[in-house]
Amino acid sequence: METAIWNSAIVISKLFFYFGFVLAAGYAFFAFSKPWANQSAVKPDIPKLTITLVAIALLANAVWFFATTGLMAEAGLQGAFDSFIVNMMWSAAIGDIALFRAVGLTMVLLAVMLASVVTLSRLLRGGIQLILVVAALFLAYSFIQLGHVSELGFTNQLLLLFHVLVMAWWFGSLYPLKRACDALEDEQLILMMESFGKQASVMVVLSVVAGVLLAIELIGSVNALFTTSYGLTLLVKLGLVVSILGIAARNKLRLVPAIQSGEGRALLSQSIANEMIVAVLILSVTAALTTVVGPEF
Amino acid sequence: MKNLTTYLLAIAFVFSSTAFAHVQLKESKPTDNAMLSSSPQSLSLTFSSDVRLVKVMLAGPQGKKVDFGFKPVNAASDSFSWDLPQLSAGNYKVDMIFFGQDGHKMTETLNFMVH
Repeated sequence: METAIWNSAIVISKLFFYFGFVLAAGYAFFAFSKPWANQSAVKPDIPKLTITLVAIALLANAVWFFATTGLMAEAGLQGAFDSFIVNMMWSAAIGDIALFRAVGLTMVLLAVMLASVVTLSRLLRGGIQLILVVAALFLAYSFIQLGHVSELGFTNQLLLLFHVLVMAWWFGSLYPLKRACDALEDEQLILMMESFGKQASVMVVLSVVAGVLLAIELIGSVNALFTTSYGLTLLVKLGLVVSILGIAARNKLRLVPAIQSGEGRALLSQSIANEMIVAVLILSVTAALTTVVGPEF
Repeated sequence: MKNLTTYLLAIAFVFSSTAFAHVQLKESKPTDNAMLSSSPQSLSLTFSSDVRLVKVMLAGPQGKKVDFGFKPVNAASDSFSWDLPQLSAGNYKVDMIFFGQDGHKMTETLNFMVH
């Protein structure tokens, strides 16, 4: 029972960390992009949401650390705050991850706050972008320190780094794209969607391939995909990934070209909302996959 | 698409020997399910790689806890040993919690009997 409570706390806090990370990556790579930078009509919402979710993610990161400590100590709520066990966890990989995430999220928080209160000169804008990119790398790097991937070779860790960054950028771009559907003129909207679609079609396919290669490495055999709970959960994740790719392909190939005829906009906005729901499901399955079920079960 | 599927399946089989394992208990003294004619002098544990031991509990007959001076140590190691007090005849159980480099919580149980 105690294990189930700690595991639930770990999965939920991980999910909220993912939300913050995704929004931060979306903001870092998207809010400063050329077609977006000129759209003052929809800009204020994005930093506000990013700040809120990143602040929640910081809190979730602390909850994750203490819940992981509690799970390890098996001594109730007290165990989560037992100074010796806390020290032990802090000096091991769990502590490194919590630290990397806290530093990365704090950098994002400060950068987004600064960007939303001062008028940005070119130099300052470049500085903030640099901080955001470094923060995104800090956050992505934290993923390769945990679990089985931490013991895999350099190439696999690089694959995960790439996978995590592209997925965060993609999922993080969905909310800004949806806001653009509601606010931009046709011409601007088409420009933005086409430029995003072009980048995404290459990056996302590469990232999915990287994810599949990693999964194969971790799971060991095709047989294990159908006979272990890790494999089955991975299949659920793959099913969701296929469906989100389907939605994205329909957006790019049918709905974006239909914007000009006046029919695409509402459909596209709804479709991106659906895409966001599937993205949340994917992140939820990932949080569970990396916590409750390991490749050996 | 067909080529991609073939490629991924081929890779899956190439990598099929790399099934992943967590750090685990490799050896122990007493061994699991050992029947001992006298009280063991020490408890020693050897792991497949460096671990941090969070908890080691020794329980005797009727689940009574036996204090043998275990204290969690912050340093990681692959082998640990403690002197045991004189154990009376009965069944004993050792429960341990540890984690390796990957941070996964691992548990292991040993049983032995003193005649």
